[in-house]
Amino acid sequence: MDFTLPEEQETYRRVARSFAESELAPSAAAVEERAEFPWENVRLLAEEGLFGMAVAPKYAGLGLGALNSAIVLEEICRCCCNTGAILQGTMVCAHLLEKYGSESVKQRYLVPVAQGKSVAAFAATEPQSGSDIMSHTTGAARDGEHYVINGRKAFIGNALEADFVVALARTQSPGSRPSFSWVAVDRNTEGLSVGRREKTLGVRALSVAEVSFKNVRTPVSNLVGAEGEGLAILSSGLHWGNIFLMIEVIGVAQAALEASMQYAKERRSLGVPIAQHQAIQFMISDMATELEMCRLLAHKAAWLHDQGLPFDRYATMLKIAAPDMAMRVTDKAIQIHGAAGYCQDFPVERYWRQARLYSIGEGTSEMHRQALARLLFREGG
Amino acid sequence: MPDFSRISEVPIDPKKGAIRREGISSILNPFDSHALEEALRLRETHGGRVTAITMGPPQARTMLRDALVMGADAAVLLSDPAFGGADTLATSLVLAEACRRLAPFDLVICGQETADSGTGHIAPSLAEWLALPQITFARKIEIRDKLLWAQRAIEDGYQEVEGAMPMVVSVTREINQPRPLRVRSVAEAMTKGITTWNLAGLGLEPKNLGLAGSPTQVPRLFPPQLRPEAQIFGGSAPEAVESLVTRLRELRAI
Repeated sequence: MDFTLPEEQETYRRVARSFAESELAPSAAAVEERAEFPWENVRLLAEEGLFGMAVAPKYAGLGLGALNSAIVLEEICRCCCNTGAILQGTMVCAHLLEKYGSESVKQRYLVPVAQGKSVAAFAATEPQSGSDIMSHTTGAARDGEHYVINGRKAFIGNALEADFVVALARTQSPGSRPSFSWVAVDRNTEGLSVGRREKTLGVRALSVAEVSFKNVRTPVSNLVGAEGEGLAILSSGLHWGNIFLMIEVIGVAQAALEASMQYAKERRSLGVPIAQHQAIQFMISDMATELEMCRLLAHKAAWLHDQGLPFDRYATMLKIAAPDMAMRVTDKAIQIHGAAGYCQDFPVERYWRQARLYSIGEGTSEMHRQALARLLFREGG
Repeated sequence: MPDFSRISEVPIDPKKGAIRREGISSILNPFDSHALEEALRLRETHGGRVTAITMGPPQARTMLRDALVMGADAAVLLSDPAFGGADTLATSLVLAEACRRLAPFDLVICGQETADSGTGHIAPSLAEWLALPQITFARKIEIRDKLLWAQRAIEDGYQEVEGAMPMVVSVTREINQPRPLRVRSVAEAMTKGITTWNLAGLGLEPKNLGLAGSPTQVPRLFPPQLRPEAQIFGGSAPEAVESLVTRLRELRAI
């Protein structure tokens, strides 16, 4: 078993790092501070074809596969988590469209996304229930060749800027068993409105808002997957999306580790750089070890996906492990910086705030622990 | 050249008087990125083929892969333990042999110097080994009626020269802005092989290579000692300059 990254992956990593360091890093702090969608960064990503990096070339993508895309995304998030988060949200939608959409849906929605001409939002969570999907009330009632959608989705990333939304809605007939479906809805469809931008703790440039549907009509042909397959698609899509969501926080943790090591080499106490103090050395060692463990898990999940092998287990493990790792790493980063780490002049407080998102978004850590336990008892440890 | 940006201490081999490069990744010499960019631009205008060549340890392969990502058609790595510790004469000898094996060619374009040693010797030495004309410190080049025209930087301005190809040219950083590495170019770059030539492949005499073939010997290589004290020269600018020059002469720095 060869654990070294092949030359191809190393090249993607190096090239992506070069791009991110020169184009994204200089403005990363300001992007977070302004808490506005970074259109210039989005334009740069689009020019590089990165919104379609995991999409097949026949749909205008780069066809990098999951592992190469994960490597590229980590480098982007290492330099600017906000930009990476915007990219990941669109990538998840692109994945659903490519895997489950009809040819017409792919041409209409996937190709513009891959070309960087369209921003997408993925809408599942509702104000009264996130993990409890069976309590979701947003419904899509069939009316001839349209669905009429009514309901509300909450905490939707990219909501304010999305050109279209891929939303999960109940499509069951009254009295029948629960049935959910995914439908694509153009942003400018009558009846679709987006609420105010939430003021979040971190990743502030990612717009998070409520999306409301009031008698919103969307063609039945905009179904993503077959009617009634919504939950299966959600599960599959989330596993894929979780790899990349966790790659975001791995990028943030990597940035925190590097910042801490640099600070420790420069800051002096008792006549020496603090890097020579055992307490600091222990923290740095723990940070690097845990970070690498999560990275390996992410790469394994991505590699398995690329091989067409089951990867759900590892994506779920990753979703459990990586957020907690990132909180410990970013917390230690602040501690290493001391009082300076508590000040916004240094990036580590930003990393700490950003890291907090990841045990919540796209399925809480608790839900994933429950899901993993079910899987383990079903399939074996 | 070695990428020192990610290590805290430069490892030095006391026996060779050279930097120990094992485990240190290589990056494209910044000046060479301008050379490569100029080659790519000439290809875009006039056609042809661009081959990136470097002499270095195996990890220099990553730099050549980056050259392919930038758009080079082919890449050649000249690597052998026998080449280690070479000064610019021994280095240029190896590079010249590689150029002969890649002939015919119109131009050999080099960066004006490396960012680590900064001698600027390679391009002129290459030209001499290859018995070719040379233009150094070119800040602008054009191909005009099968001649290479260049505007070369000199201390107090520039001069315009031209000559017949094939030729060796070294370029300054003013000449262009290198294109960035693009993710979308990696896939195609990975389809191109990197040829590796070693001592046996080049048919050179070991006594002319590496440390043995280097008339320039480095008696000692050491990181500069940081001096915490500083001296500030006040007064007007002319007064401060005069004081500074006097002090530098006292210190035998000039």
